[in-house]
Amino acid sequence: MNKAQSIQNLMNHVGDRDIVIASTGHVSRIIFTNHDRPLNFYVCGAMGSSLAIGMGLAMNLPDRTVFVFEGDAGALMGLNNIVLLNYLKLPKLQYFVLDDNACSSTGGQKTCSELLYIPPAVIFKVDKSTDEGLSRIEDPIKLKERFMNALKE
Amino acid sequence: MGVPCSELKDFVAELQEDSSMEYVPCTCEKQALGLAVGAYLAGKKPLVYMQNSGFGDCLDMIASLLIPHCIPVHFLVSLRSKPWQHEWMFKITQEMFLLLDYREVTFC
Repeated sequence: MNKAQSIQNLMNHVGDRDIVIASTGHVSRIIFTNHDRPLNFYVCGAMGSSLAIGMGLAMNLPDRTVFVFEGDAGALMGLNNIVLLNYLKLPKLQYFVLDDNACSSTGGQKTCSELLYIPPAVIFKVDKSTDEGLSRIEDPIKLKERFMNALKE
Repeated sequence: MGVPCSELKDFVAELQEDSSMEYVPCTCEKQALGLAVGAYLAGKKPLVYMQNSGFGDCLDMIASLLIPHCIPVHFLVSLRSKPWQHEWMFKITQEMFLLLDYREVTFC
């Protein structure tokens, strides 16, 4: 299964009021292209910080379910976040890693994700992806304001 | 949220004793900043505290996430100049704030 199909299956479980944090690289571009919605926040820069941002939201909005989707390279870059997640025990935060053992958006260079074992993260092994047909995310301020307005509804 | 510094230990001690909020033992400055971004998106006005050495670690997050998204986060940064391992970061810290176009900076 490729990354886009795996994300499609996961997005089917996202409810109308649920928050989605999409990490740097192909994950955010796939979600933006195929599953854009106001309660998505795209972390285009600051690679490795998606889970921390998700935790900040989950701590302050305990009634909301927060889905964090990240690639293996981003997960490896922010491994310390999983320790804090286990410490904080945020029951409504769901962390999914789409693992293709590669830095897809920089040319498919290999990662060391074979050794990635970070419960409670759920890791899906996926085929390597290309950026064919994927849109670029533009206008971050507009997307942020749309996200924050949707949270108020 | 933030990362302790010896210069900030009284401030951090007050946070730890404050029963009105949960003390979050962040593992690094970028993590504290990530939590602050999430808190801001949730409608809060976050402040992150750290030593200037850790502020250096935050530069990419500020440049690639906070500034492009217009996400305001207050920083409380302690400025260490000694011993020797702090000297270089001390020399460039004020300039880093100016390079980032942070206008409302008070050095004390």
